[in-house]
Amino acid sequence: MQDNSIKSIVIVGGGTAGWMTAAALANLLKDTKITLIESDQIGTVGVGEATLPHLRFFIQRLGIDEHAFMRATNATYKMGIEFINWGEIGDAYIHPFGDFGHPIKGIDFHHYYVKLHQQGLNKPIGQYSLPVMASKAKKFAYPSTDEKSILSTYSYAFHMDAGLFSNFLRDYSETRGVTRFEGMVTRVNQCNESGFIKSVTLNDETEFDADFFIDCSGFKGLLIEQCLKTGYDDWRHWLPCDRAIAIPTQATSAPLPYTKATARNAGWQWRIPLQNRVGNGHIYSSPYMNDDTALETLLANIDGKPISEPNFLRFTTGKRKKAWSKNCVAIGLSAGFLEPLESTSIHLIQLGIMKLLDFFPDRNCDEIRVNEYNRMMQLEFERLRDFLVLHYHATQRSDSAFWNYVRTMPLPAGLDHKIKLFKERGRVVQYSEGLFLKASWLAVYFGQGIIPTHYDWQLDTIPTEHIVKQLDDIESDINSAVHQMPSHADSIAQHCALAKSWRTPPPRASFSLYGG
Amino acid sequence: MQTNLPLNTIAIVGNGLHAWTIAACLARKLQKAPTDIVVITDPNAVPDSIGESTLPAINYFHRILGLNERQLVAVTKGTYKLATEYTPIDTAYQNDKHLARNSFFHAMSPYGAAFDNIAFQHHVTKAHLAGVAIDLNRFSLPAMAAQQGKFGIPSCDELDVPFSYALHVDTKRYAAGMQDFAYKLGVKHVEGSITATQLSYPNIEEDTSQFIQSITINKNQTFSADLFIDCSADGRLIHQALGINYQHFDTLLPCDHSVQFSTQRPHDPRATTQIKPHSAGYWRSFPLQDRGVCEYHYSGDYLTHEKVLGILNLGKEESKSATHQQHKPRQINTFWSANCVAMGSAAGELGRNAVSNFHLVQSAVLRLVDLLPDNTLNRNAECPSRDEYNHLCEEEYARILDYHCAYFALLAKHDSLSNLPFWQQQQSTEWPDSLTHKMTLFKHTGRLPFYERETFSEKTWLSLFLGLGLWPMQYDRLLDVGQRSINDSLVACEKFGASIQRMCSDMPSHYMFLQRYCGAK
Ligand SMILES: Cc1cc2nc3c(=O)[nH]c(=O)nc-3n(C[C@H](O)[C@H](O)[C@H](O)COP(=O)(O)OP(=O)(O)OC[C@H]3O[C@@H](n4cnc5c(N)ncnc54)[C@H](O)[C@@H]3O)c2cc1C
Repeated sequence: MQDNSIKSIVIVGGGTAGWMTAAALANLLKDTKITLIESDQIGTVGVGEATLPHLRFFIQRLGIDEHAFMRATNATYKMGIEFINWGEIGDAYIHPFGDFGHPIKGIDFHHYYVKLHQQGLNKPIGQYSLPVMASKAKKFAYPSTDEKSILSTYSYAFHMDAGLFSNFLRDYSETRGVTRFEGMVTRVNQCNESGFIKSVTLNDETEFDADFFIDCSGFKGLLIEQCLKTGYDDWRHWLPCDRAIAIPTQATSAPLPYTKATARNAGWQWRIPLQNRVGNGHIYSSPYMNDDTALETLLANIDGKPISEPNFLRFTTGKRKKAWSKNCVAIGLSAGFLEPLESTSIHLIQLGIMKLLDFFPDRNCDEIRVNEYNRMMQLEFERLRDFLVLHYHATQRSDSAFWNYVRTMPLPAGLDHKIKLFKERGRVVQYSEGLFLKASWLAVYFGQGIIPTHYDWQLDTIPTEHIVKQLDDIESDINSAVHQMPSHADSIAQHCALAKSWRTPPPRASFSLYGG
Repeated sequence: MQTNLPLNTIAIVGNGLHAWTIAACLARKLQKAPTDIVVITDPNAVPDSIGESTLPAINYFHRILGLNERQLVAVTKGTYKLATEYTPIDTAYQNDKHLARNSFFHAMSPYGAAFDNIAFQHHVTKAHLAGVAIDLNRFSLPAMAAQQGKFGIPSCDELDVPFSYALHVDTKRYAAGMQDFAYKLGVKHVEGSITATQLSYPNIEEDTSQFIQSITINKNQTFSADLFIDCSADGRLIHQALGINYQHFDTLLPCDHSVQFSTQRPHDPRATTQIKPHSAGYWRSFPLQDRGVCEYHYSGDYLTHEKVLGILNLGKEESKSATHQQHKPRQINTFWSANCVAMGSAAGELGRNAVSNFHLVQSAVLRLVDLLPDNTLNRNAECPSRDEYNHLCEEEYARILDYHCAYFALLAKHDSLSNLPFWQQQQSTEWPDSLTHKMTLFKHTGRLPFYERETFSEKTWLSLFLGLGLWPMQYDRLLDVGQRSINDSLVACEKFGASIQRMCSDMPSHYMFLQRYCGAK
């Protein structure tokens, strides 16, 4: 039998996507020659600082010590995102990595909450979530592995310095045989017949050929778009933000265990606490706000002293029509960019890598395999998109043209139904595959003022006093658990301590947002 | 703010097994709600099947109803089902021990395990491609137990391999049990044929669909209800009254006739449902405690009824029990329209080779309970719950259609059948795109595509493909990394198989289990 296996891979790009891909491939494809090319002239976007719990799964699969990773990237813990001013100015809620309450008698917790809400209960649903209450108390501890404990009802991720993360993975990859070249790719050479990529040529005319190419070149998609011309689905009519300004500042207080996303006039502002500094940025929509106003808004709303010049970025929300075409897969910004609102980009990088390994081809890259990869990525992007669009659309804000637009814009097919179904009777459309599941949709619905008109009518047979008691019990369980948790800062200090004997090992990671 | 207005009445129109199963489940779930449940049965309805072979989901269903499984098996003279036994031979249909050697026992839980982080199928594919014969039955506890005529329910803590099972039940006894149970929960029963239906428009403003206002029984009795469940054989309400049409699958599901009859009590029944191809369709048979149930499914284009009777050559007792049925492979276009939900035969027929309507009825009634609207919403033209229900049913049916088609698609490729006209016909069938995609992707990569709302998990699909002879042409490339050899794969498989064998040897025979716990004599 002819040996068609892939012997060499070239990765173009050394941002977060490039190095995550290199590390994962080096770890598994021990006998494949892996080369990574990056250009110092072009540099990386590298603002990806807030992550999702899945990243822990990635790190563990690579055999990386989580504590070493945290030290190397100045990481802090993240249990959720606080959304401020989204439903209405003055609102705030946390979307946690965990459930609200727990089902009682087989009926989802939120129906009980809705029933009491209708009868005048005015606590936010976050009172019934451990990660929300722990976040507010600036506490952090590892989730418990005892499933019965309320301390097992959440998961966690990190805030990290993306540049340092790339360096860390570069070390990891180079130790495992990845070769790195610095230089600018100026030509991509295709095979005449098949259109497959044969090689890439640098500005000094060095040529690199390979059986398989991974495009991690960022927004422009040097291979996947400029060479293979796969096309791009522009989603700006649903996600109209297309500019960003990033600026890190000195930390003025102990780091919070959550990200902040504060809605502004024509977009929103992020605040991401690291051990040594705070990442800030303003995402906005250029038809509704100019760069100067955006910068002013940002500078007026940061708490520490800037430690570098503002970094201006432009992007088009949407996705590459095919993430995989011929013998080239796009991973990272080259495959598409949604919105950093729910920190999904690094997750999509990870998913792209996992699916690539899952469908790892031979040199022919048979179409059927490629199609399934693209179908899966398409599904994932669309589901994420809908969840992000919900944040903008579910608002009562009418204080600017931007908010008037997103509040009234036509929705992607299916999202309208999802919202209606929830409004009608508190039912969340379920999927078995997808990143944001029921708990996340609930967080945003309730947090942004979409409260179901009806709760599950099966509750009417349960006396209200029982429901009140159940909810009170959950609340007090959470409060006493939070009370016993160490502060976020103490946990970081302990876990990042150099002496191993001081440290508790982190729990096993799972490929899920909510733990368990 | 709005308070909930419960439904006052739900009327179930249908008979026997389906009607009473739906009634019992609704009554149980609505036990404390002020909703009346009425079952309207037609004395002239076609009789039920003799027996039903179920899926593991039935255990969950029984838990929801609060039923004791062993008692239920005893009362319905049921047996257990560990696997579907796919037998390649055309001849006998009795539980014949020596035939089993060639059978593939398809359990409803995963085979093997991931070794070295690489999924099981890649290891066996690698071996298969190198010419090593693989006996899949050895890599699943239920499959191996089924093959050896055993049954037991391992306790959770000793079990570190996948295990699942389902039941075979006597339809009449099961339906009677459900009826009893429903009565106890306050379900009312009316007998009579529907002679007229009265429709109305609840919302005058819009061009809404028509709702069922009431139905007339025996020409003189009128019943109204907030919600009607139509599980009649012919879609009496959904189709005949509301005019919802069916889409037909005649070319995809070629068996449009069947004969079901009971056979002698099997001596030492295996815990399996047997499926076996014949020249123009397939046999399906499974044991009950006091008899066997046998079904002969065939295409009317290739066999006449007379010819079938000749082939079956039934004895006197068998003839007495035999029922001949005609089937219309089809599916309703709207499962829930206005205030009428179609379930069971009214919703469609997708054949019986893996999933019968009995399973679809259980799944439908649980879905309905989950999405049951309150009474104001129920009357609205726009009802997102209804849309969601329909959408979920459509996806569920599409996946089951794929699964049923897969049997014909795969068998048509077998040498022993490929010269028979019926099976030749299947070779040229244009299967649904989703099934073609599944088979092609599997063939090329050893992986299955993901679809929502599968009744059978990816692993169950996978073992079906392998068991029926669809092997991938490639296995996971990662399996070749780092000088892993075929032998490494075989050793891992061997070890796994040996542990299954050990667990199996502790199990009692199926018959002994039934005797000990389920009243078999
Ligand atoms: C405003 C903003 C905020 C974000 N926030 C988050 C967040 O909180 N969480 C999150 O998960 N993600 C976030 N992201 C996304 C995240 O930054 C990216 O997913 C991540 O940085 C990956 O980028 P990349 O590696 O694909 O591309 P880049 O970082 O752009 O890297 C491109 C690489 O390609 C190389 N290159 C390009 N052209 C050539 C050439 N011709 N020759 C040689 N080399 C070349 C460059 O040298 C560079 O190494 C955010 C993105 C933006 C824009």
